[in-house]
Amino acid sequence: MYNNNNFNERITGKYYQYSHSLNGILSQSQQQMNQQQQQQQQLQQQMYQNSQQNSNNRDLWQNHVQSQLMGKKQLGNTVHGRTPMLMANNDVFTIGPYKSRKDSTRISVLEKYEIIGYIAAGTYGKVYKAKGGKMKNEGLADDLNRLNRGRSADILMNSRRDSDNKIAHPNFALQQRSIRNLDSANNNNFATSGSNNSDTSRINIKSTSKSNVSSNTLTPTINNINIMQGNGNNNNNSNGTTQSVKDNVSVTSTTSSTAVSKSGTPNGKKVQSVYYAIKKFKSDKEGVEQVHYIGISQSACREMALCRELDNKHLTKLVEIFLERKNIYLVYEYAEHDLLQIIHYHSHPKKRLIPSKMVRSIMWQILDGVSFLHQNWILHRDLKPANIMVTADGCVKIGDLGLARKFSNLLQTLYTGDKVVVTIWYRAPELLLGARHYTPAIDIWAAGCIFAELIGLQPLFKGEEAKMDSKKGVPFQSNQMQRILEVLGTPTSKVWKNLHKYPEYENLAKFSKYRENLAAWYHSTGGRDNQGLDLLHKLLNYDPITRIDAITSLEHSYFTNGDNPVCESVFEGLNYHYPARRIHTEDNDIMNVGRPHKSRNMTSQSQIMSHSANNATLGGLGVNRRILAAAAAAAAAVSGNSLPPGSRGSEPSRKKRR
Amino acid sequence: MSGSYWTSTQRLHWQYSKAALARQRQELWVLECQLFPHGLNIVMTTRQNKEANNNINGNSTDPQQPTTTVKNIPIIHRDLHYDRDFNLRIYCYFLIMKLGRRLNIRQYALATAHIYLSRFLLKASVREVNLYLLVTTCVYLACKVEECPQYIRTLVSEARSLWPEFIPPDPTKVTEFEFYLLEELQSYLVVHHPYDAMEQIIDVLKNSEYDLNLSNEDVQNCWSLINDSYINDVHLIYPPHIIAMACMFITISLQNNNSANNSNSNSMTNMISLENLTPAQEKFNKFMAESQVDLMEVMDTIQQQITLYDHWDKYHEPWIKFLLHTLYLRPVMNQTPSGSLGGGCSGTSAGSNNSSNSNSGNNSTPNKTVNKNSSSSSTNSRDVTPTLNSNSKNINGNGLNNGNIAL
Repeated sequence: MYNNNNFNERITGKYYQYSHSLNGILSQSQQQMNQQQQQQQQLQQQMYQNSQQNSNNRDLWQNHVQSQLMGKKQLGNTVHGRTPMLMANNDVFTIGPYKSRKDSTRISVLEKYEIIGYIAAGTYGKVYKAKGGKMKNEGLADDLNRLNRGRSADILMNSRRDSDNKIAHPNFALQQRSIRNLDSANNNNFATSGSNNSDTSRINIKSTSKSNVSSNTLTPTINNINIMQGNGNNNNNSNGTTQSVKDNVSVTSTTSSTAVSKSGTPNGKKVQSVYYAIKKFKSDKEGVEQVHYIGISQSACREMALCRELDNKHLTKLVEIFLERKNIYLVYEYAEHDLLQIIHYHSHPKKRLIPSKMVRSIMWQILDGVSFLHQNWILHRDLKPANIMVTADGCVKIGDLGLARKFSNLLQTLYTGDKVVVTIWYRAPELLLGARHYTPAIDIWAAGCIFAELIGLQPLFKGEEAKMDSKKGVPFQSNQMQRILEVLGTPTSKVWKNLHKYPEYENLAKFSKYRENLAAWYHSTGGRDNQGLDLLHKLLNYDPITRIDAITSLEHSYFTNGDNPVCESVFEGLNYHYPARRIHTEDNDIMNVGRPHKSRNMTSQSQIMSHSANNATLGGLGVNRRILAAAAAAAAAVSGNSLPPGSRGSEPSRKKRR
Repeated sequence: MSGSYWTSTQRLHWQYSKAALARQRQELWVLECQLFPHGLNIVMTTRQNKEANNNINGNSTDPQQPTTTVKNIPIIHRDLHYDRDFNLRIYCYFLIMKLGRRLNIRQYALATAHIYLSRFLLKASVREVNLYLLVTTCVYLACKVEECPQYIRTLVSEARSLWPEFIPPDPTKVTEFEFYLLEELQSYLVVHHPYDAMEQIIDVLKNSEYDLNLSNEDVQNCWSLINDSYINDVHLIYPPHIIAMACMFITISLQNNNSANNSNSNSMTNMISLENLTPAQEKFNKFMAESQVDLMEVMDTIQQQITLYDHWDKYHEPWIKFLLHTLYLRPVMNQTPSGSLGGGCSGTSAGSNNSSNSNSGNNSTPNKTVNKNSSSSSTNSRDVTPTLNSNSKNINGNGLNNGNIAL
């Protein structure tokens, strides 16, 4: 581990030290290099000429573009006429040309998904339920073209948003379009030749055969003269490569599983049935249409980075990400239920225990997912029933990685990053005692709490959260601590070796002594299975060091005991169905998702909007508010707006983090 | 997955074969040709090494007078193409380092930023974005991803103090760019670096089997070599452990060299020949042989690293700065192509008293009086008829007024 002290020495490269000693080695490589460069240059000159001729021959548009570009410069001059010459022109400040190039090819969420309604809302934003497969054939129906079009991000409309650079843009759209057409021509050709290479132009095909390079590189301008060549090429390629196809964020997803394959299939019925949950990160103040880019919040950043990276059966699967109009939309596979909802169903109107078989299956799947996270050096830090989803076919998915973070290679201590983690009822005792460096064991504790809640149908440690005092820093959560002590007894240094080292140890000493009575609680709630109790004991072990870890827990006799095998589906053997998620459609906030795109013909208006948006000045930027849990919203979604008094009330939310 | 490189998005989505990388670059290059068919016009004052008159705007015909020359760098020239212009690459590296040092950002995050930068410049041209803003944004995002977030206002104000002409005071420009950067990265943000692999290798080398203990100094050297490796493409091509291994190899090869003798010629033989291996080299070679990594990849990485230092010898910061200034800070020029200075590229080279170029406040890298290597003037005026302008003003204050640019 290298710390800051070394930083300055290390930051500089080796160059000055080594340059001399390396000189000798170089003569040879240098020559080679120069040769290569020359060749390359020659080649490229040729190609440049080619492309120029080409454009002349082919069409007028390119010249058109050129002259327009020139025109743009002129206009820029008149606008910025006598400004001080030192400053960059506006295009440079705003990266205008680049933006208009990108904006003209972006696809909108609403073009691909049909929003049905929202299923949860919180301070982080909203989660919508959406139907996929909306992008149906505009003309060319086959898969290839869909892929291709999706990838090169379509000919559709899209002149809608030229915010900064009005002049260059339309031409560019035109240009893009022509390229697209060429591409698709090309692809059709490929298709007939029967290969699967639909993505010559946009994507990194990991090709092993080098022979392809020279001709393949001639995309896209010269594509049209190259089609014949391309074909031969392509055959080569399909021999050499089966890998393929990475694509744009905003486009057809890489995961390709349900999203692509299903929406791609021609028979319409399947298409209809694929649902998605779209999480929209709210990035504005209440209700106000956002006018600025504010930095992507830490939690959105985490969720994006980690979900992109992770792929496991027991994690909610991220299908794709849209970055659109200053908002982030994460498209997940839809999960019909969550544990909060299921627990609620069983506790209302009167308590009916969740079948033990089902509990066992749920717990196993949770721990499996947690184990996967931990093996990937990720702490979830917000496990709770509301964040555990269950799909309609009974697969458990851990969701909401907004608080999760990698714990390998820490550049900052965990505590510096986030002062408070985990929703209070599920917060491990070491966190309550002020641990600065905590371990994956905190997730295990939370899993234990969930286990108990599945058995007892209400939170095991339902403490009240002490309010955060901005001056004093993080308060000691004495009520929560007390709840734990009441059930698990007062910890001693015998069961928890390093107990006295925790910052809040003093506070702990103030409590009166309790005896352990988890077993009593367990039996009182109808628990019969002693193996289950044993697992619970191990999950709720005080000492994080000796607390069972996720992998080991999967081997626990509670799961492995032959009499009661773990079911793959949570719902196996049930003769009833859980209610589906409640969808809120009354709130027309839904349209907010993509109001400007509501109708593609409305472009002029939206242009004005976006333009004015760009011109506006910066308001309160500040640090983003921490994204809070979906729990409260999900609870509301389950029970409507009327929670029976005395049931569970609203769940406490996480606190502000920084 | 974030736990292992082998299942990471870095490998699955952002690792190219050399051919694929070339293809990607080619595509970008074609795009650049379409977007900027006219190349870059630069204006130079040439002092015919006698007297320095202040009267530089007068387009005098007297050869003794300082003349302004307008020259066109065609788009096909390798200047300002990230793939071909090592000047630019090294400059980018310094930009990131400078900003990082200002804010005391850890190298790990800066390395991530550098990866973002090189990925981005694979998809977009330096000519269409503001490089300085890009650097700032990359650092901003990398810090978030590596869990050491910087306050945006601090970051922007520091960047602005470094590059006042290029960084707008409005932080939303950075946050806006962040979206575009994310889009270009396809939201694949987790990056694996060779530093971890390096430490693992060091640990393994300590085993009795190899019994090779590297000194702190060696470790630091290796670390620095890895830092430098970000200038190359290796991070887009090879897995991190390959790079770690290559840097370790260079370290060990030079370790002996630095201490024992200073003669340059020996270093090559030390590195390559099999005869004079030091014990450390032997041990490391044994380790490499047994490690089952792809030695060809390691060799190629080493080769690229060496090539890099060769380029570094010719690194000419004033030139790249000048180009970027010309590119971004468009002087007010009338586009009417009136006058024609025939053969704008000929005979402009003057004595190479380099400008100190102190304008933007960066003075950390020494100005080297090395002639720029990119002046293969044969290519300059071939295909594109330069659009020239007779009354073009000199780019005052952009580092040119106090000296010549040696071409």
